[in-house]
Amino acid sequence: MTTPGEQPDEGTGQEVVLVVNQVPSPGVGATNPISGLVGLAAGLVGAVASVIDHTVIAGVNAALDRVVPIAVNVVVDRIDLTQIVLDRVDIDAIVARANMDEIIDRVPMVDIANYIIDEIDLPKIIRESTGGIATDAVNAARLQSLSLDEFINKIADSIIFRRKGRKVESPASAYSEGDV
Amino acid sequence: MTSFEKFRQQLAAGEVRDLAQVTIPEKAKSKQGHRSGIVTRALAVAIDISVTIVVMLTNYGLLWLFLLLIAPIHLFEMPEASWFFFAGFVLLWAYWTAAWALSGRTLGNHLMGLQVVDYKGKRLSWPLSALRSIFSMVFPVGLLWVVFSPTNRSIQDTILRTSVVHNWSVTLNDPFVRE
Repeated sequence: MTTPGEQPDEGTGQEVVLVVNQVPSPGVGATNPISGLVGLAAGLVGAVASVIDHTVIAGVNAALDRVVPIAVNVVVDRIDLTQIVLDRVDIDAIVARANMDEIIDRVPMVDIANYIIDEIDLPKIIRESTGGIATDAVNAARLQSLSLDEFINKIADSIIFRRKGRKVESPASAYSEGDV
Repeated sequence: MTSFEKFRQQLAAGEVRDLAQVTIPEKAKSKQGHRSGIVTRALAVAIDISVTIVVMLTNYGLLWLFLLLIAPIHLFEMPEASWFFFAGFVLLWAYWTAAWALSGRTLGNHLMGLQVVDYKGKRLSWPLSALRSIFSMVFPVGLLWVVFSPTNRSIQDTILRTSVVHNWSVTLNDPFVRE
């Protein structure tokens, strides 16, 4: 609510414009000099108030710009902000409300994936673990033929009365050399 | 959780186990690097020969189809079956030579988990590989010596000082790959 007395203060800007426009026309000033004077006074007061306003606000702002950071630093230095956040903020709730999709959209997932693949050498792992066609079926077939080999070797050894057993360890085999 | 840093350290310290070994059954692990017996080797050879026969039959069929389509022209006649037998022989010889010299494994070897190595455990040289290949083809009975050999060697292996060993996993630690 504005009282009539305060009107000049509040509406100064507009009224100044009116007065300035009217000053050059001699007819208006001549017909109603008092209202012109009042308008002029109001305009002056408004201008001065505005200047003071601006200066003061600028001054205060400048002062605050200097003081507040220092004050806040001093305050923050004296408190454990992390502990306060940990104590008082429900981080889980914040994370739960975060829109992960948008975050992930901004993360270079492919680059990271490539980096991980490079780091753990995934191609090597795949190559070595599959060994081409070494599936369970192949392993089963290999084991079967391995057992048959031993069975036949045993029979052959008994036929020719060999007691020492066979020397099947290849001294410089690919396996032992590569696996040491 | 393993960080990259930790993983790198483990890798440098050799603590990361060879992942290829995981796929080898426990029973077969102790057999790796041992010379193989007759059954496994015969199966590998059988697979190789089967592959060759399939390839030659396919060739025969394709050639027959080709001649059928251009029948009116009569560019040339269908070769005799013995020609295909000879071609298959040459093909198998070339295939074995290349496979043993390059990786030590033919398809049959690979399926049965075998690898052909020389006396040092290294890859066969091309001449040795070609020699072993032709020797195996003209004297296949030599394979049967594996049954009685004290070192699980065929006649060819004994003369050329080669071995056919179990090596079920193809790894980068393989000396063949490292070379």
